[in-house]
Amino acid sequence: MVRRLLARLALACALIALGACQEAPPPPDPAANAPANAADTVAWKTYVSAVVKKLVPADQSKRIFATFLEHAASDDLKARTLENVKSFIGRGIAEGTLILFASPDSEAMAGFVEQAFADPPKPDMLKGISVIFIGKSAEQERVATALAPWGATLIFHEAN
Amino acid sequence: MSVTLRPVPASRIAVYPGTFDPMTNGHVDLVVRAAPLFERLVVGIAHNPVKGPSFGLDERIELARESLSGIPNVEVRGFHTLLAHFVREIGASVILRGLRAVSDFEYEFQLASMNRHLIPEAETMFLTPAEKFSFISSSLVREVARLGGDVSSFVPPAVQRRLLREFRR
Repeated sequence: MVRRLLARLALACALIALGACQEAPPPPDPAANAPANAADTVAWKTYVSAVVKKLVPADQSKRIFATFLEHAASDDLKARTLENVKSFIGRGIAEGTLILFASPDSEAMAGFVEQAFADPPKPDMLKGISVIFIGKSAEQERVATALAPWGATLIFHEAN
Repeated sequence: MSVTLRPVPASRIAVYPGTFDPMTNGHVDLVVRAAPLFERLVVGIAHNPVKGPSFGLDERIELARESLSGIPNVEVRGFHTLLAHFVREIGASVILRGLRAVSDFEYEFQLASMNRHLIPEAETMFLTPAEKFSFISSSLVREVARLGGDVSSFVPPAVQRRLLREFRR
């Protein structure tokens, strides 16, 4: 009698646990939505990192040169970052490298890309290199135009 | 925990790469600190046409040679290739980089990670310059010189003379 009661109890517990498992909502996809607060740099970096994980195979992850401009970045920070990007591009990039640009200020980042890629020393200097831009679709054409003379492949990701 | 030691490189050669447009006292300070640590230290001056350097590669090499002439185991060479190729050509086991401030770190960390992937046989070593040089950058020096300011405490005398000639015009 007691044994039967215990068996029923165990079955009931198992069913409850199974039900709980089925009802638990799936964990939110960190790459699904861009953070609403542009000033939340930590949230934005988490989002960008999640998007990159989706876009880039794991074995290529060590070959990403990422540039993130925080919301309302100072002119000094922009100037230093621009110099770093130009140094990086100018010293030559190995094929298969990915260059990433992301910012909550999509328009400012597009302007930054235009400056960084303003004067190609020779055509198709970045052939075989992919550039990921995470931003608003309004900027996609600007970025594509800036990159075209360099021969780089643009991977655009809309930050919704 | 077991530890696998990497073999000691046959020669202790370091490459200190950069654009050096132009060489500053901060760069010189770093070379002075690093030179005793290696048998040979090669200052590699990158062509880098994208940055639109104010001085041509030959001139940057000449200015660096003049600025570093007193240090016996230091050599200055220009390169047009990928840094990875240059490091292999030299046979270096260390890539030397300077860190002036925390703001340099994120960029340098990315470069170091990428170089580890491209040149696994070479390690990146970071040195910091003396505090009094931590705010000096080549771009700042060019800007001050362009506006007619005194850069004598920022750059070696040969560079100062060249800047004066360049921006007096």
